[in-house]
Amino acid sequence: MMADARGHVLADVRRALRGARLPEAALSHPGSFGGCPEAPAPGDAVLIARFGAELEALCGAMHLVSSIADAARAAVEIVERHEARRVLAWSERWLGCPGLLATLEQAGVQVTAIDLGADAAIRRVQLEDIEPVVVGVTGAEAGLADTGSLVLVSGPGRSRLASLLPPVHIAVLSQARVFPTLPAFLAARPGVMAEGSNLVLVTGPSRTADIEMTLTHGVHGPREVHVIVVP
Amino acid sequence: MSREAADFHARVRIAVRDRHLQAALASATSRLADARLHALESLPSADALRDHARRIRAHTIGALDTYLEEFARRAADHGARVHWARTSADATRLVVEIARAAGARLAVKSKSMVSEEIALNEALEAAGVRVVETDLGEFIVQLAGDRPSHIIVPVVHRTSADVAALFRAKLGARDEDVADIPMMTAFARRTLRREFLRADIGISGANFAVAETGSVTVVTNEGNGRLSTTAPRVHVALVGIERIVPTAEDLGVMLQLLARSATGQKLSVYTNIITGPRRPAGGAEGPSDGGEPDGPDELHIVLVDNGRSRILAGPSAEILYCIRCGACLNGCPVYRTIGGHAYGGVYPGPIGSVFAPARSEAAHPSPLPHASSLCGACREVCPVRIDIPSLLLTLRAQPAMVRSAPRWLRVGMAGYAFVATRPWLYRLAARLARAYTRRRSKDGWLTRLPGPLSAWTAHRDFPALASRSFTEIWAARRPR
Repeated sequence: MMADARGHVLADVRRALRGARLPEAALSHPGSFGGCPEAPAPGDAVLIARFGAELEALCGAMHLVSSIADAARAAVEIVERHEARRVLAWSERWLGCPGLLATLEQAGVQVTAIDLGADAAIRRVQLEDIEPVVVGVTGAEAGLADTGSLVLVSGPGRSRLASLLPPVHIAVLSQARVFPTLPAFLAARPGVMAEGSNLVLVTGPSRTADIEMTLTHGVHGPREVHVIVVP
Repeated sequence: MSREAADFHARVRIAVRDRHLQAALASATSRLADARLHALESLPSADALRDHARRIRAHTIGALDTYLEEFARRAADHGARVHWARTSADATRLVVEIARAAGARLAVKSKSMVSEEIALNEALEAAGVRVVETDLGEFIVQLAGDRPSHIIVPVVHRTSADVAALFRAKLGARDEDVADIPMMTAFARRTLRREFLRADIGISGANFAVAETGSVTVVTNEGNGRLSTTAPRVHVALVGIERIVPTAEDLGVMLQLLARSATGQKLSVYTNIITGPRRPAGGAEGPSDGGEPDGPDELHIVLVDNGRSRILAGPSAEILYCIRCGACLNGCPVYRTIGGHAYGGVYPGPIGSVFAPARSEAAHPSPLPHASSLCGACREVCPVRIDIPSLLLTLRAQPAMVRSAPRWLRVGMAGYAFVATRPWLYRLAARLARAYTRRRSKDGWLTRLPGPLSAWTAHRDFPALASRSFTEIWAARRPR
């Protein structure tokens, strides 16, 4: 019956397509969009500045640091400002900031990695356990300058929830990974979309304007997004 | 007048007398429309990009069977289970079966137009699964037993005081929980967090499905789209069969237009692209690969036709290019006056006036194609330049639609055709009409036309005709 349903839907579509009135429907794919202006190469200072300006317009924060050690210090400062005793974090290898987790632990912060079980009941207990954590720490696959977006790709050691569950998200982004636009990033990294089960573009803190069109931050996702840009 | 038309007119009368609704509509739609304009200006070559997006949509719909097969194959390659639903009954049955197999008692739901179209919540509740809407607007709609009135801002028709009263009555909120809008939002966050963590399944729609990779894309601002598709063990994505784009690059094109057209954002906060369920251990990175630490263990994708192939075969097929941004609502003078509820369906505004009647199998034609002044604002703002006014005219000209017109109108139009095709009679009638309107008018306007024509003047005045017709002036001026 399942196989049948597929056949039925496809047959209905094929029947409809014969003589369908579809203005401008060319047989061949229209190809790439040619109208993109020349843009600076990834990592260019102009792009970093634009990224920061866009992110800050959305009430996110960019912290441009000149060394890995400064990045770790900036992260600890944010964690301490929120009096967080515990953070959810990606594994060290994916953070792009060696020593960050050790620095946090030295400051007395417990670093928790997520690994949800396949059993529904165990999963629920694990989720309840990590829900109160105030800060999540992640790396980033890329930054998009024209929108102030982070690109996060899931994978081993790279949980989705670290950038989602806690009210404060700290992401470490390498300068060289700041691309001018989404199309530029997708062109530079073909296949990236299916590398993990999840690729998410995070453009500023969580927000809503559902009640009387009044902008409010931190509905279901983080209300603070800090991007530490490292050399 | 048909029952459908009478009901529509009754809803319109309620809407235009609702002063709060009028104020809310005016403010929300003009803010969204302004934000859209501003956001498109920030995009280099926005017009060319829209043309390109239109070509992508047209090509995709024209080869929909091929792309659907490719999408289903790729999604399955990544471990998703793909289901096909011809009708809304098929779709709800499939989701209920998935929920049962998962032993689900609680489902969290991210906003999905298709799920509203197929009345999924009712079907799940009937099967003993509690469903919680998690988009703040949809959550409020669900608590109130109401219906959404805008594609993007579902509770545009409600005040913060309404919401405060609702949270008090239904959720036991205390005064400090509902003191202001940020407090209400925080209260909703706490309430919905508990549901997210306990839910057995998460249900979402899809803004786009990418054939090349088998990915589904869920775009939200709040983060509920991410939580619904990450926390529960099972994720079900409902995908209208026309949501396909061929490639990742094409998705990039659509994303540049979607949020700008919808809310004036350059991108929505979360563009969530999902390719299969979470990857198990021993994957790409060899034996040391511990697998992905979170995300659902099962991903079900339900491809829903529910009348879309009927639209594709009909005269309004172009409406399938739509990317559901809602810009046509904000631009439409009719929507801005009557709001979403008056349309009486899931899809309001100009898109709804085409989509709903074109998809419908109902014997009685819908009154909605007439709910337009054909001003063309919808076509102007549409990111993929759908010619909605022409589609509305085509629907109005359908034989069933013509047959359903009131008798006086059909007789009247036949009479007009008789007169207008006989020049001597036309001149005579025009002279009489001129004399009549000039005698009865005050300051150049008539407040009431005679007989059945008075329906026209019930809501507006009619201008008195000029004392001399163009042909008369022309004849007098022409050198002999």
